[in-house]
Amino acid sequence: MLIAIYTIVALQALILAVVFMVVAGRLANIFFARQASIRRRRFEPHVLNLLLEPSNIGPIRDAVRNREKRTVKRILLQQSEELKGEDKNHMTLVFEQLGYVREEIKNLGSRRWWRRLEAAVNLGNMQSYESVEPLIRAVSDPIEDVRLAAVRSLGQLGETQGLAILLDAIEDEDLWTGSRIMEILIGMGSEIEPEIVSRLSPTNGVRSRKLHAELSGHLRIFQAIEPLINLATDEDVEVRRVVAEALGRLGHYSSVEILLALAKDECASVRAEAVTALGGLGAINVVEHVVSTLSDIDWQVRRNAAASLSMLGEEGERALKTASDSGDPNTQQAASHVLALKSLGLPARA
Amino acid sequence: MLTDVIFGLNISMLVYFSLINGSYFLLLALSYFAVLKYRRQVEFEQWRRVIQSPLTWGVSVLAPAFNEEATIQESVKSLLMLEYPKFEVIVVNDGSTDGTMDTLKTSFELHSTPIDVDVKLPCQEIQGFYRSSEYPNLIVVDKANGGKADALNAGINAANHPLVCAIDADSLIEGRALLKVTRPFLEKPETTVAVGGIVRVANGCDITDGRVSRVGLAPRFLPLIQTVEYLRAFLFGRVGWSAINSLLIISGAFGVFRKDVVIAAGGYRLGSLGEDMELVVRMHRYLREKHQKYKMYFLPDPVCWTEVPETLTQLGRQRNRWQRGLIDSLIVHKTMLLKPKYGTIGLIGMPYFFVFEMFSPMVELAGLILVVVSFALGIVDLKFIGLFMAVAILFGASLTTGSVLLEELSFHRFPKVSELLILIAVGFAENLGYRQLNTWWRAKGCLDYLKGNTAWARMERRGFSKIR
Repeated sequence: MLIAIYTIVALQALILAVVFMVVAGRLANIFFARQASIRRRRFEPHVLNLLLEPSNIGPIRDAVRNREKRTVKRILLQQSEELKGEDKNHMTLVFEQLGYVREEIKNLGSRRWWRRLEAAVNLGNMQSYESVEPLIRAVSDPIEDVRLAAVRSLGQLGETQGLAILLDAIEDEDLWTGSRIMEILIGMGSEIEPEIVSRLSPTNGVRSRKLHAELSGHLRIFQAIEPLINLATDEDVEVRRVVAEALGRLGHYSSVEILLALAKDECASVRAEAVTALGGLGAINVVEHVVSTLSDIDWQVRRNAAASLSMLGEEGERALKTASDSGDPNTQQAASHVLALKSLGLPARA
Repeated sequence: MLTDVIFGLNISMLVYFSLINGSYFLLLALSYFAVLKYRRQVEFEQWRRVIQSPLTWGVSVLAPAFNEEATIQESVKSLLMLEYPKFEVIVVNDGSTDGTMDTLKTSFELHSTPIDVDVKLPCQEIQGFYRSSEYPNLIVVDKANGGKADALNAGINAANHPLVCAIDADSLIEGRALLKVTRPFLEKPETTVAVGGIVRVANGCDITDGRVSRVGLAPRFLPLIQTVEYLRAFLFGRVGWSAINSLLIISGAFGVFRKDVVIAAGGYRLGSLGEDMELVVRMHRYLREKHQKYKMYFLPDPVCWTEVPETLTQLGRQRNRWQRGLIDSLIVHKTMLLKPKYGTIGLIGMPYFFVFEMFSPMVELAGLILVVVSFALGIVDLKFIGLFMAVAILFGASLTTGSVLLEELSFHRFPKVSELLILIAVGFAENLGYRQLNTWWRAKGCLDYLKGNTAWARMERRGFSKIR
C-alpha cells in the first residue's frame, strides 16, 4: 500500500512539474522572441548600413555586446544568403572582424553534434578561408549530417579538396549516403566534369559505377558518352538502367545503337529507360524499333514506348495511330492512351 | 478461498494496468529523444534545395473516395497545391452513389481517356479513366465499389511514380508535408520502404483555400478529447515504435510507400478492415523473410489534418471498426508472434500489440466489472478502489501531459498557453467516463469480430468549411 501511495504522489509531482515546464517554457519563449524582435529592429539598420559602407564596422562592433551577438549574427547570415560577388566578400570580412568565424570554428569542436552541424552550415555561408582547414577536419565527424554540412560548405568555398573527399566517399557505403553526395556534387557544376569522367571505369565498384553514371547524366557531361557506352554491357542491372537514363539525358545521336541494344535488355527497367531515351533523341530512324517495343510484356516499357513515339515527329504519330488500331490489346491500350493525352494537350510522360 | 482468488484477480488487474502504462512511459521516453533528434536534424534543412534537387523521388498521391461529395473538391484542390517537384494525384472513385464523380468532372474539367493501368494488384473492374485538361498531374480512376483496400490497389496500378502516398480523400495535407515525409527516401534510398506522417485533428482550426490557416481547439468536448488522443497516439506512440524499427501502423490517412515493395508484398488485402496496419505488417513479414535490410519511419512533423467524429454514435462505430481491423491484422499474421526471425517485430511489436492493444479492452472491461463486484461483495475496500482509480487516472493524465510537453518542446502548433492547459485538463477529464466508454466500444469491436462482422462504419462528413 505504501508503494502505491508513493507512486501516486510521484505521479502527481511529475504531472505538476511537466505542467510547470510547459507553461514556463512557453512564457519564456514568448518573452525571448519579443526581446529578439526588439533587438533585431535596433540592429537591422546598422547591418544594412554596413553593406553600403563596409569599412564602417566601428559602430556595430561597439554595439555588439555579448547579449546582442547572436541577434547580429542572425541578421548578417540572413543577409549573406542573398548576396553575391563583391558584396559577399565584404560580408565575409565583417564575419571575420566581428569574431563570428572564430566562434563557429570553435563550435565545430563542440561535444553536441547539433552545435557542430550549425557551425558547419554557418561557416559555409560566411565563406571565410580561415575555415577551410577546420571544415576539412569536420569531414571526418562521426555524425553524417555534420560531415555533409562540412563538405557542402567546402563546396560553397570552391575548395577542390572537398570534391576529392566526396568522390572518395562515394565508395564508402557505410559512412555516406550516395544521393546526398550526388546532390552536393551536382551543385558544384562543370568544374568537376573531368574528375567524374575519369572515374567511369568498369573496374570500379558497382556503387561507384552507378553514381558516376547518374552524375554524368544530371550534369550533362558529353565527354562521358564513350565511357557510358562501355558501361552499357555492365553485369549489374542497376548500372545498365542508369546508363540508359544518363544517355537519354545527354541525348546524343552517337548513343542510338547502344540504346537500341538496351531496349532489348532482359530486364524490364532497363528496357523502359532505353525506350524513353530513344524518344528523347528525336531520331526518326528509331521509330520502327520503338514501335516493336509497344508489344513488350511489361506495362512500363509499353507506356514509355508510346510516350517516346509521341515525341518522334509526324512519323512517330503515324506509328501511334496505326498501333491504336492494333489487334494486340496491350499495344492498342498504350498507343490510344498517349494519343488521347496528346489531344488534350497533356504531356505523355508523368 | 473464493475471496482470495477474487482479491488476487484484483491485484492482477492493478498489475496489468501498471504494466500497460509502464510500457507507455517507456515509449514516451524513447519518443522524447527521437523527436528532439529529428527536430535538430531538420532545423538546418533547406527545403528549397530539396525542391530543386533532381534526385527527389516522384510520388503518386492516392486518394480513395467513396461518397465524398461534400469535401472532394476542397481536398483535391489542396492536394494539387502541394509543394513538391514531381507528383501526381490519383483520385479513385470507389463506386460512389452520391455526386462525387460529377463534382470531380465539373470542378476539374475531366475528360475520359482510354484506361491505362498496370494490373499488378487485384481490384474491382475499372469503369472509367479521366484526365484533367486544367491540371496535368490529376488522374481520376472510376471503378466499381470494392472498399478502401481495393481502391488503393487500383490507384497503385495506375501510379506512374516509384513512391505511392496513401491518404484519405477527406484529409488535408500541409503544403510541405510531402517534401518532409519523403526526406528519408532521399537520405537512405537503399533501405527506406515506408514513412508515415502525423495526423492531427482539424476540428476547431480555420481552413482557407484547402489549407489550415490557424490552428485551434475544437469548441466541443468530443473532438477535443480526440485531439489529445491523436497527440498521444502519434507523438509518443508511433515515434517510439519507429525508434526501434517496430512500427506496425502507418496511418491510412498519410503514409508513403515504395511502390515496388508494396507490389512485391501483394498490395492491400481486399476486404481488410484495417488495411493500413495489415499492409505494414505484411511488408515487415515479406522483407524479413527475404532477409532484406529495411527501415520504416514515423516522422512527427509532416502533418495531415483530418475531421474527427463529433457524435458518440459515429465515434463508437469508428473505434469498433479500428478494433476489428487491429484484431484482423494481428490474426492474419499471428505466425510472426515470438519468432526470432522477425526480429523486434516478432519479439516486441507483435506481443505488445496482442497483449496491450488486442486484449486490453476485454481485460480493462473485466477489470472494471471485477473491481465494482468485489467492492459490492466486500472483498476490496474503498481504499483499494481509490488506489485503483487514482493509478489509472494519474497514469493516463501524466502520459497526456507528457505528450503535450513533447508537442511544446518540438512543434509549438498551438499558439496559446491556454490551449495547452486545456489539453492537459482534458487529459484528466477523459479518464472519467470517456476512457471507459472507449473500452466498451473496443470490447464490442472484439465481440463483433468474433461474430464475423465486416461492416465499414460510414462517417458523415460536414466538410472542412463547416467543422468549426
